[in-house]
Amino acid sequence: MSGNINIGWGRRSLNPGRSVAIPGQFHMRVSQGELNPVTANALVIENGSDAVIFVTVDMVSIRYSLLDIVVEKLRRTSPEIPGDKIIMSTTHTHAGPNAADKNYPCDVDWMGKEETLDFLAGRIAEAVAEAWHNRELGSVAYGYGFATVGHSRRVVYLDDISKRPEAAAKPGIAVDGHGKMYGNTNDPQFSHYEAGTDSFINIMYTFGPTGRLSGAIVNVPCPAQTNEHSWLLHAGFWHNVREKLRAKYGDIGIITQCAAGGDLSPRQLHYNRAELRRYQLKYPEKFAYLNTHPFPYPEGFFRNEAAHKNRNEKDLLDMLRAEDIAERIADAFDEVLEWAGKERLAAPELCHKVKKVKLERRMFPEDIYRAENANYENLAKQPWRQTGDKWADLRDNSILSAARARCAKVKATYEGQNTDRQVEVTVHTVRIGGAAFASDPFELFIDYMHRIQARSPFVQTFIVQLAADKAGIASYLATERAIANKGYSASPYCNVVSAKGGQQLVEATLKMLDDML
Amino acid sequence: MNKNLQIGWGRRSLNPGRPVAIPGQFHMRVSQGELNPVTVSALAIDNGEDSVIFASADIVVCRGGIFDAVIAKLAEIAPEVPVEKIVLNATHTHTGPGFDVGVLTVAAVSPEALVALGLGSSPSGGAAGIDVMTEQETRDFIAGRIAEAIAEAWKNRAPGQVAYGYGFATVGHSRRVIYLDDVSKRPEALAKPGVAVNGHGVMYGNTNDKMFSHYEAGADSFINLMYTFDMAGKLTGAIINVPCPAQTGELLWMLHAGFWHPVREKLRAKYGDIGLICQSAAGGDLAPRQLHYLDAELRRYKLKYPEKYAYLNAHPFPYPEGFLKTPEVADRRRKQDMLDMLRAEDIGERIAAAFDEVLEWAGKEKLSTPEFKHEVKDVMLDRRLFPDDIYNAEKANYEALMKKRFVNTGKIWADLRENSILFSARNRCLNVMKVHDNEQTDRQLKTSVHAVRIGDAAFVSNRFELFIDYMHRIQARSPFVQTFIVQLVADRGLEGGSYLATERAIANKGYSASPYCNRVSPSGGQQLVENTLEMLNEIGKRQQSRS
Repeated sequence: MSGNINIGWGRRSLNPGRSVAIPGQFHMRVSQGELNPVTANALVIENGSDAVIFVTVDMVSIRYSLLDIVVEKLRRTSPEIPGDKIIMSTTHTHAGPNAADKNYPCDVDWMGKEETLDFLAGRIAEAVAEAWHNRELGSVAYGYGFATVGHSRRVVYLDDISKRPEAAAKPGIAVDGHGKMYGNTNDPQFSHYEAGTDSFINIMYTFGPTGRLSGAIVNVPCPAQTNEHSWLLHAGFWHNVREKLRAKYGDIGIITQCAAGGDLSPRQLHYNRAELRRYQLKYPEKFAYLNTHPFPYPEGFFRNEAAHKNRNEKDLLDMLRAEDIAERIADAFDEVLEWAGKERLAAPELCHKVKKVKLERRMFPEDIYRAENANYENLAKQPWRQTGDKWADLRDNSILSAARARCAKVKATYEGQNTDRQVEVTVHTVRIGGAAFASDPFELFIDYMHRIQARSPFVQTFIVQLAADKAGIASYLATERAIANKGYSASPYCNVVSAKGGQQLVEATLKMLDDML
Repeated sequence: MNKNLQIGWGRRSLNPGRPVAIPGQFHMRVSQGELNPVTVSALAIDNGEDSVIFASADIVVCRGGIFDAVIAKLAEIAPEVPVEKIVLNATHTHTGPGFDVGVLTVAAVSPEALVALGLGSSPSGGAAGIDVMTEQETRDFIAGRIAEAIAEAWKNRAPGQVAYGYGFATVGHSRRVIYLDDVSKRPEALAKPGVAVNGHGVMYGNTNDKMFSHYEAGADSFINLMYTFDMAGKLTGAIINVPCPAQTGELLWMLHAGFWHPVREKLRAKYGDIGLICQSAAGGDLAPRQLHYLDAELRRYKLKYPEKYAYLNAHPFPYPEGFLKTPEVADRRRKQDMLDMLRAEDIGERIAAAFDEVLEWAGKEKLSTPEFKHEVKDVMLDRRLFPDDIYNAEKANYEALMKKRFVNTGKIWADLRENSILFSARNRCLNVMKVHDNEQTDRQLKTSVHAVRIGDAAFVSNRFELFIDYMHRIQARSPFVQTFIVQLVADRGLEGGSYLATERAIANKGYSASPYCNRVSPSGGQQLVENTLEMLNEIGKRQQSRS
């Protein structure tokens, strides 16, 4: 339905101001402070007939039914808000707060799981309520441009690297084949990047009643995982983007969405010396400062000094990388605004559909089950580390716990696969004029995005990955070619849904998009 | 101690001022004027011990003895130029002047040549009446202008400096579309002898298809830049290396330089009349065309360039009378030409923005006495060979095509279109047959590779339309900080160009990975990678041994 749209923005900090878990690596981290703001941002667009509430949170993933808790809080505090219209996605910063169980021996304290969920849900609900209450007449404009942000992180070799003499079995972590996530490209058998990358950036701007820019949805196919090993809370490259845009346009609202980026990351995997040189010359002051001010890590966390030094060097590179990426996103933001801003829509068609879709589970043959069963049994026999060196204990025990959980998940899938062959996920589709949004709960490989965008009946289709859903927790949705190549992100540990299920997602999404027309 | 660099620039027009052939499509075109300048630019860098002469020409490919003709011409006009140090690349604009051996015979220039080439007899009359430069005239003209630009650059050498860096500019998009099914098995699939053989892959395939799966290798938005300065620090020019051929507006009958023209315009408006070497890095599987989001693209240009859009919409490009088969075809062509011209403008903006961005920081580190070395080597690469079933199929195709007659309707442009397409189709089949006939004795292709070191940056050349995977293999393993890949570089002799496809491309099939398109196999591609890396490692050692 079309009709004048009302637009509202809201925002809250997600920093609890005390130690909170930072999941995202095999080992658990606990925040040592905040490097830059981690926030929840909300944008409401409604026209009296339909509504959408976009929310982005600076978190790695949405666990433990966080959205349900948000909706429940809103039902109590602001019952007028349609909770079913919320599309809450994570930026996939690997340095955001999150709830985490402590199901292994460890002397480190952090906010309890329930307390963290309550805190996060409260702040998110407040941001949503603020956006809802801030609604006023406005308009939107949309367009696309280009900004190189993500690079392929799936390196493919001419040989099966699991057959190399030096290959080590890594039960519970990775299973490489021809493919390897973040593989070394300076290798005589390096063949190619599996799917390449995508430099499209989709942007929808919002304007207030006087025509002043009030905010934007910035949709980039890349997770915000710069400085992803940090023990300080931060928003990855989105922080730099927000700084630049707000310096130029004032305190605007910004929804930072990750389009399909399961096989992408903001890291170059070749030309690394060129990259370092670029930053040294481009940002000499920042380079010098960061070089002398390394990130803090807990005492005893690193196994040796070399590992510590290596991490410091990578942190430095990543901080500068985030700055560089943000420049490109901000440039694209300006470029698109200049022309897209000419066509503002005050009463676009607005339609929002939500559907439960069943996707084929990735199932495993018996040999994988047996291997994982054996892995699990071996891991179960490994004792917890209890040396009193609390940070090293946290590191090793959380890794062991994660490894056991991964093997157990494959086992559970196999054991249930005769009766539980499908995974139910929530898909949102939203139409705003000639543009559409389609969500999924996965770390979606870019091929699926291209399939949807190429066949969508809309002029532009914003893909929103890692949108809240129980099924999407830490789950890559890999393609046929990725599963054939193997490697982390396409290993049995990583996929809940099969490649065939991926195509079912494509078809279901396209049907919803077609129906909105 | 390294010696001071001497740097010189030269430039010439490649517009002969009269009708000239424009190769690059299955059909032959004859120029109807110049839309924007087609040029050759040359950059000489030497330090008294070694040298390199980069030249880039707005032509589709260097073949047909063009490089030999350049060298012969230089021997006449500037014998002091070290011709073995020339790295001459085609920008791969599909609207530059050129020729293809024998193809102009279809325009009734040399009927005997068709027979000599095994491609049948000339149409009697055929496209007679078309005023077009002959092969020899064209070769002499192009080679002469290239030689003059090089001689000028050599002569202009003066003490100078260089700086290098890289940035990002989205220019090329994957042009190899892969489907979940084998499209050749679809009911509607037509056999296209002499043109394409599709499988799961189709070049420029329709992505709005239920079975669309993915882009084969994605794209690459890296842009490598090397700037030149005089000793006062004033910018004198740059090498711009972009992994994408310059084939915007690629069906026009007017000479033009593709997206490089708007790049040159923008940079010269800002920096003065600087020299620009426009290199295509590996781009065999890339093109400056989006293959999805086309409605969004058109909308982008309508809103971004409203005046240009309106002008182009009202001023379609000229095509010869009778060439476009129907009004519908003409209208579709008009729209695509308009899209492509706006696309070139948009791409030009992105390249110019990256140029500025990189210059700002890379310009801080100017080198007047860098390590400098240039090696040239002939390498042998495995040919792509064909099994008997492909040979037999192509032989049957060839025989069927030989039974088709050249047309002679008196409609000269329509006749040129039909006859040149038929000629090309026969030629493609014949090439596959020849490879198979000679496969016991001629299993490798010899080609030259240049490797140039300037400080910690390197340039490596190849003659192919190289798939990007090979570029990444070289760049990832190169001992240099940056490695500029320069594709479509001139070889001696008649041959040049051809797609160098990867294993996955050949498995997927489709134009650019079909038997018609490849002279070298993927194992030959890897041989190119290894040979190139060996050369890079060799020139990379020099500094260590000195220091």
